[in-house]
Amino acid sequence: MTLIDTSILVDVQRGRHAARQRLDELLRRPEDLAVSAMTVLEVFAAPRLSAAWSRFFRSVFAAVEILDLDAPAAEEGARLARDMARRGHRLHSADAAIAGCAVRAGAALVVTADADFTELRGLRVEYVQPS
Amino acid sequence: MQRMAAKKTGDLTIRLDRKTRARIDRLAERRLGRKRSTGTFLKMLALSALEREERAAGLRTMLRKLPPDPEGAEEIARRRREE
Repeated sequence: MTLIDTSILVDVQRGRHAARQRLDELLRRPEDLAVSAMTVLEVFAAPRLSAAWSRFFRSVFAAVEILDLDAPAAEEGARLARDMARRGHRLHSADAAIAGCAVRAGAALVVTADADFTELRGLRVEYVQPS
Repeated sequence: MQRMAAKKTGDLTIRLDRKTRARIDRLAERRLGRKRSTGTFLKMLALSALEREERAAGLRTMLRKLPPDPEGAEEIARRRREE
């Protein structure tokens, strides 16, 4: 299973080519994809999300697996954030929650446009550079 | 294990040997929790694959038609960095 990080969806919405192209590829097999419940929260918390984008995100979330941010996933995320902090990197709480969900669910890959994820240990990360 | 024969009508017939049929029937029972005929189970699998494919195509079409919304995207990006 491949986890899509919020940053990919943000870059897709921005119109960045690389993210759009990668998401288009990934959506060929939505049954192999997942997002964290944190991503659902982050996307829908935006007050000015347009109806068209809201409809698209809702359709994507309906087609992929939503990984719950439960206590074990949160603890896993906290562990990753501590490990990053010890190495002098900062991991935002939302990113830690997403990474925790990925580790907990045994995701084979995390696709992200957020360079912070590349510093994570114990996760296979594909960084989609903004373009 | 199996052989395919094309009928004059253009329909495709797949003939299964007894061993393969039994394996499929066991899988059907495991997946569905009840016995189903081999044909019914295979049609269910085919329909489900078709639905998945249609759903994927629908999502990709939506994505290609959506105009970028940089302002909306920045709002999500900004909020996720506010802690």
